[in-house]
Amino acid sequence: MNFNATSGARHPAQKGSRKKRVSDTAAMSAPAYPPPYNPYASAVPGNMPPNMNMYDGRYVLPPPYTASPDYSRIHPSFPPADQGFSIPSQFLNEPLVANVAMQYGQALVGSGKQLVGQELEKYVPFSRIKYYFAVDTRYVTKKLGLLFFPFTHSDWSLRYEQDGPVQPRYEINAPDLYIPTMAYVTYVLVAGLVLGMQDRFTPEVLSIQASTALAWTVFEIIVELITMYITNIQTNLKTLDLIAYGGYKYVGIIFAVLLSILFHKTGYFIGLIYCSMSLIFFLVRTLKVQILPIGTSPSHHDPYMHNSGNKRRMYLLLFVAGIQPFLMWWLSFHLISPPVPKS
Amino acid sequence: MLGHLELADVERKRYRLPSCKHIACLIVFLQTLAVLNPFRTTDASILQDTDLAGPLVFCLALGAFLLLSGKVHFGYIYGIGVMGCLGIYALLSLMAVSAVTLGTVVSVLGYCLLPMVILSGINVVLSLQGLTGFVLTGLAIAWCSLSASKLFVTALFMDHQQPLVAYPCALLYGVFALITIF
Repeated sequence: MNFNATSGARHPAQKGSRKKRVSDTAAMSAPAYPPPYNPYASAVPGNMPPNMNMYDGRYVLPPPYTASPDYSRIHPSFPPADQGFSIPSQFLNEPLVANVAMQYGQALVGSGKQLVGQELEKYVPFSRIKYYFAVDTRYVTKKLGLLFFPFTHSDWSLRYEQDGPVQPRYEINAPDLYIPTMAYVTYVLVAGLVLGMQDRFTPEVLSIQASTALAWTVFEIIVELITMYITNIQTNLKTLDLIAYGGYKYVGIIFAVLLSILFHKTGYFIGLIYCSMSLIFFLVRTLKVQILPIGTSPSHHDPYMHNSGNKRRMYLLLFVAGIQPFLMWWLSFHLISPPVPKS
Repeated sequence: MLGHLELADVERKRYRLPSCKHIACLIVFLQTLAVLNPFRTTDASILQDTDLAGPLVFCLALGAFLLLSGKVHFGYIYGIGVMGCLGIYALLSLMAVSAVTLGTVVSVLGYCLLPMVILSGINVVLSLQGLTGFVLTGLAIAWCSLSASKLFVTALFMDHQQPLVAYPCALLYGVFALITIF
């Protein structure tokens, strides 16, 4: 199963290969036993025992049982044309049968894996998630620079291709999930480090930090989704976009906590305030493109985005951007050490 | 002995082929040397055969050196190793266009654990808590993650993503370094 990041373009090819595979296994899924395996009948060199003619698609009657009397017993539950497969242990010892069984098993495993992948795709959309991880080094460095200093960036619009936004690799304004994920993991590790430096570290602390931060992020996303649903605002924002934008705050948290190692409380608050301001600016500018309607939007941008509810959209935008500083403070204030008393 | 052949040649010398056990050790050693030079250009075929014996040997060696320093951390090594491998496997399967197998990930991460094993060996004789200790630790983490990311990027045909792969590997090896030092 190869999931390409440009999932839209890939699906027809996947469906095509799936069709091909189904047609391959269609021959095997015949109700009769054994599966009529045409290619293997022709691959067998000349000297095959008489009952091997079963491998033809047609249920031909075998020649008279002169050479192998063992296979003359007919299994009652099989269709009458099948004869001679009633002793599995002896049957499986035949080299041809072993080959066929292995090929059948391998093909079954392949189609089974594909089936599992399809089922899993319904619950966790891997192909959608792969889009958010299609990043490269240039994008990540530029995005981190943008998170810390968004004030000079001028063009915040998002380019689209035929069915979705351009991959983050090619569009600096597109959200990604690599930075939020890495920032989350780094946040947990930095929290462990800082607590270790204050002699407050136990291994449970790491899991407590991780689950607390995760719970708060999930809560924030749910509140945003409910708000968007209640106020009936329709945007292009997907849930994964919201997760991405919610995860950018961990970069600011890490910066503030690292400053607190050197400069204690003052360093922490300075870092927190600066990162909050830049994150608010970044989010307002980025989400303005996606939530507020653009007056002269190109025709392909979103024909379904209503121009009503501007005030509601503004409030949603300010809400999303405004809860970030509070959450940043809430998730990190317990990590800073009190200033060292001067002796 | 298995593999012990005698060849009669014109000078009537005996040539002895190495035994299978020796060949296996040799392969592990050669693969280790091949993967651990971060400045050597590698090709993608190096990961065709995923070998899990080398990584296992390195994990046991790491645990043994930690034991010599008075810390019994086999459980931590196993737990962090498993979780780290699963996490990096998930990340790489999302980031790379070509297919990733768990065996490849475990094999690469295990082989690149060697600098960490060397660090824990140094920790037995010197204490790593001073400035030189931090510098050595940083160098070891950088060496591990650079070689691991180089192998991943080469084997999975990822372009311009080596630092992005190196960072999570550095986090993982940083956790190993933490349990080595503290």
